[in-house]
Amino acid sequence: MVIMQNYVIKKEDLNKLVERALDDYDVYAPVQKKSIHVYDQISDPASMDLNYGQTMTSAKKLFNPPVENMMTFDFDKKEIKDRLEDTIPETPSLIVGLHACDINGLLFLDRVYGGEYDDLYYQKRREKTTIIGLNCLESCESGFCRSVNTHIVLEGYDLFLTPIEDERYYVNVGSPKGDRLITLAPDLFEEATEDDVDAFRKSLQKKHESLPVEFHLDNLTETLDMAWDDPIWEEIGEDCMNCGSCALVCPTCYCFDVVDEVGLDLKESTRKRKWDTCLYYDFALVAGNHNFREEPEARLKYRFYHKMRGAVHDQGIIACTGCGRCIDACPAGISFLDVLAQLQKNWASAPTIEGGN
Amino acid sequence: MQVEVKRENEYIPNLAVLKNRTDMTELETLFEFEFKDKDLQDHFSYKPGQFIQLSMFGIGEAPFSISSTPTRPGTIELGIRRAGDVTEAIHRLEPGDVVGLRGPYGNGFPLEKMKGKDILIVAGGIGLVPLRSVINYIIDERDDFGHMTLFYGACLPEERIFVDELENDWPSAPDVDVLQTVDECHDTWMGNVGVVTTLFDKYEVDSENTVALICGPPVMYRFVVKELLDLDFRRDEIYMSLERRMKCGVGKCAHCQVGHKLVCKDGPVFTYFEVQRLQEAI
Repeated sequence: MVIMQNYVIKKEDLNKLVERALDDYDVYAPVQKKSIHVYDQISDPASMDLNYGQTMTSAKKLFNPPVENMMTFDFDKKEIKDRLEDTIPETPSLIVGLHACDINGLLFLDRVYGGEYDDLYYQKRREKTTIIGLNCLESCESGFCRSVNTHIVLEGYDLFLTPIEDERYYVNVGSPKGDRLITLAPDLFEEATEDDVDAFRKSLQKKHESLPVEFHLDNLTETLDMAWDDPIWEEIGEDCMNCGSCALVCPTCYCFDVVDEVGLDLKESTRKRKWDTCLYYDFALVAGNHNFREEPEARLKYRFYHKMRGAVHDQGIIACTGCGRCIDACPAGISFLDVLAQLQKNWASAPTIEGGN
Repeated sequence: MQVEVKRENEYIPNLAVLKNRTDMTELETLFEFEFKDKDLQDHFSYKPGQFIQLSMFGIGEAPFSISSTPTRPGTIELGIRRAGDVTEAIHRLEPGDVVGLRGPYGNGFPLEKMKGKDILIVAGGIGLVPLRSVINYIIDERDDFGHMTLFYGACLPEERIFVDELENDWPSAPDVDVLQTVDECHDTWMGNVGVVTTLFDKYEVDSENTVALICGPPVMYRFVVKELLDLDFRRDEIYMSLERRMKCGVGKCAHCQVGHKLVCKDGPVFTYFEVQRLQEAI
């Protein structure tokens, strides 16, 4: 009995698949720009570069754009026009080459934008997007995915490619949308043989040997509960510029601001939402100018607690995929990973734990 | 009973018309709205303590606690202080003007758990806005609840809101005591002078079978909670409504996140037990 059908595809044939997909999809893929990679729309498969470590910004921009129109209000007619349909392109999208960390980032956003209230702007884009994931067999420069267990994906992709020997990819099919891609170019795919499964296993072995574990999640929640008054917050708070770069490049940071902008003809206004971050001064400001997070270190600390402690309560998982982008993006050189590791060290060596009895 | 009005896109407000406005103080006005959609207006209901997102198109959207009670169907009343761009614009509205409303959102006060119990309400300044909803609810459903006591504190006598109800309607309702205080006063004020906690010295509160509801400026909570704890109130029977800047109202934008709780969905009403475990809550 066939429980699950898996395939292999030659690396060179992936370009042919993308070529054919271009007729039906807007295709996005990692593209090299100067010294960095970014997800960009492509019109030629040759311009995509899957041999990349990490893109500068995450794929969340394709599902939750930095700025988007929510609705328009006509002042004369006193009418609200939903801009949902305008903001979502008619053509479905295909994203090629998403690493496990970014797919896990989307799984987190799925939780936030789902639940009791639907966020249709996000969900409709998500439904209209097909994802070809790409397994990393080696670690990237700042990433720490294995430490936070996001080097593996179980769902969230439509096809997932793992490089195996002989310049081929082993293909896991994750959804009916993935099946649709295969039927688009059935000649490019071969059913996986037992030898291919062995090759796949070897690749996974290689991955597990090469991805380091730099930090342990297991006692993180207790660590953060103990660390609220740790001097580390004041120390790194002095360095942190509250620029918000870490949040903007983060695949799971989802905070947004809502603003109304009036058209130049004064006939209508557009309600927009824009990426926002808890590091900005006015994020927790309320009426009467009371600020619940007045000091820079309070805002920096909040980001750590929201992502690594609050999200566990709220969504059941941490809001970090170990992609390391925040480390690369920080102009002050603050490393998210180092801060967590330092907190765990402080906690483990706290006198109440080690010395007292 | 609350009727769920399900909308396709949760963020799109419903148009509502300002029916009436009553200036209460120099800064605060009570606004009465009615939905343009008659079906929605007829079926709209809410719980005391819930809030509404009000849109002033072109200027912005902000959350406001509902001041009216679902026991008196009709207009939706919002007591609003002039404090920023959106509220300045709201204060310029005239009857007939159109705004956007969506909601109700949030958990509201725990009416079911309050049934059969005595109620102590401590309000400071415009903290009376959401509490007025529950006060009038209790008065309308009088048999369901025990004795109700209201402590109300304002900075100055002329800064008190809902004065007519404070002075006349509520004290004359059955089994209700109303005590007022002001921080500073002129010669005309004959009542108590001092912060709201000074009322605890003037009135014997029995914590046995009593639930406390608090709403006021952030600075008030710690002092009031201390009084309540000294009177042996249980930490999970002290309820407080928190203020945050909600942008979405439905748990997406994270502006109102406190610790691991979202004020818009998990609140705005929390027990003191919950709040004491949340960093930066009060």
